[in-house]
Amino acid sequence: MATYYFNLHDGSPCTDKADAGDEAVSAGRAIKRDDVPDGVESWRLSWNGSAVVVYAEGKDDAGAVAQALKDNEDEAAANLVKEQDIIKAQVVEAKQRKEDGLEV
Amino acid sequence: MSNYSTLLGGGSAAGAIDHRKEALPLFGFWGDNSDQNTHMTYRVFDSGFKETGSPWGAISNSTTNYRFGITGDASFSYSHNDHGTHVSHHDLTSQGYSSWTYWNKSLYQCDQYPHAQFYTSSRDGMVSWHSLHEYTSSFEYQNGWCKLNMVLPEGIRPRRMFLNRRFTMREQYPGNHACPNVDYYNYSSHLLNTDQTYATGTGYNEKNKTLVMIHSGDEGGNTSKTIHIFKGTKCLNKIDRIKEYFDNLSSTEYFTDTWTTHNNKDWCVVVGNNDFVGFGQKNSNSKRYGVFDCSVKGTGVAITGASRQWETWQTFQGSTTTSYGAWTGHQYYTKFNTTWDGTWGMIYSPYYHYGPGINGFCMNLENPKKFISVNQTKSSRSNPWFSWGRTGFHGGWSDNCDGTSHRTYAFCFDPTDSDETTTTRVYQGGDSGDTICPNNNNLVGSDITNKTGNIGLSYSRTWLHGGFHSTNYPLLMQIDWWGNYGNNDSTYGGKYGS
Repeated sequence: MATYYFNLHDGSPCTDKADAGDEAVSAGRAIKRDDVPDGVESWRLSWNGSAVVVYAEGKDDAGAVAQALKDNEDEAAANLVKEQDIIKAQVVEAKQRKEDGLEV
Repeated sequence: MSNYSTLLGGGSAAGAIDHRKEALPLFGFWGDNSDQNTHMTYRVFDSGFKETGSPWGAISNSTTNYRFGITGDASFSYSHNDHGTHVSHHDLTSQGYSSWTYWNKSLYQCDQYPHAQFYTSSRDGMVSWHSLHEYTSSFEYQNGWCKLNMVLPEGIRPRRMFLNRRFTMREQYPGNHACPNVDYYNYSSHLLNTDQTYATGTGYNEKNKTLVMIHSGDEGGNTSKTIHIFKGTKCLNKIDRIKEYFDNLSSTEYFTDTWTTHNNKDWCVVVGNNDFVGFGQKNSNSKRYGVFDCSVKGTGVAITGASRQWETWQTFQGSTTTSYGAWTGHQYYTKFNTTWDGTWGMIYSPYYHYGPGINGFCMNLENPKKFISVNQTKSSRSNPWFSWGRTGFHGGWSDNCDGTSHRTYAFCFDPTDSDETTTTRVYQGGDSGDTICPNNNNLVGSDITNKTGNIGLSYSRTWLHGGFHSTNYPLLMQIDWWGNYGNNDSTYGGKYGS
């Protein structure tokens, strides 16, 4: 297991350096954890307030990057559906307003 | 006789305002739906997040308004989409510069110079993207790393662009490869040591007219260094020809050293007002910064790095992960920026891959021995970083602001804080007014140990909203305050004084 410090304000990785990390802990800005899995890139690490979380746990870093790209694509697809529904509703509303004589 | 400067200052030379001076920093804020053909807004805000006006705020809800069909952006019309059908919805995680739309949100888009790599935006909100063939083969992509790192007076960004490569300094109008040099000077006759022949990092301080340049054994990873220190009696930004600066030197010195180097195009040179000079660069996933005494020692005196170095090289102290620099492409060179008031600087590069987050050293420009590490560890949904307020920077956040607030990682320094023997105070925002101005006596921010300390930046909610009332990921954009207005042109019009 490795040691890592996490920012308390959002659980993001702070540092793995003792000097800067200990100062952040003493100032109440970070938490020190000694139970961080070895060999995991820091961008995958976070602190959820009670435990260290590893993004795409069980995958290597290349697998985690691929997972992040897929997650983003899935999010974009879901957002696009939502967006198109809103725009369709706006068109219907605009048409209705014209039919009601509220808009020319 | 009155000129533009004296008129602004009320006609008195003593009270004249430097005509290059800008008001506090502005930033552009772009939001759209995912095809840009239904909803899009672009607004310009000041450092207080107050809108300063936008002529393009009303483009929406018409199929005749294909993004810039009305406003005429050359990069996008009905059938042309160099930058894709939208510019802000793309995430940026591991994509490089060739992923055009993603790259708008890269840290690499902007630095202390008023132009951005992919676009230009005036303070009035006139924004235009460049053609791919302009930027991929042009100045910023290939030669941006040659630009001088400038330490300038309050409110002034570089208005002239000097480039240093091999033994030659050139002045150039920023643009594509059709833009010729406007001046050229081979300064080799002024060098005291020509063992290393590749200029790979140059800084200039306007207050003490000091020009410091690194020459290396190559533009790759060669570690041999010769550092020349020129002190002039004429200001580089005031002369007509580069030769005039070198013809009016009061002192020329040098020292040699061997520096750990990943790629020489990454070197930044920060010339302090006190003659100490900070040298920093991206180094693998991390970063290094060292400070050297470049005050006048006398010819042939102190010609080794060891005789001039203050303390030791400092490794970046924040979190690091896979990220890249100029060794994977010259466009990924380490950036330099300054606060609006010119009291603090920042040598920085992405935390992750080619754009998100930030790994940086912030240093006081009165005294570069005063510095800390600054870190923000996003690995997606980034935005570039800009000067913000009087003595700060902000940027970094581009997450969806549908149902939640847009945020920014904003932080600022004390402009009078230049003592390297004391901690550095970093002010930050909060989640509400009562956390920024709380009902207690607590500092809203942190005091960070000089040299070995690190601040992990926290976000603040801005409540800004971009473009579309559903999904959108607003894009923060660099403002070229001066635009291109005749004598006030943002670049060559920067020569000041009479």
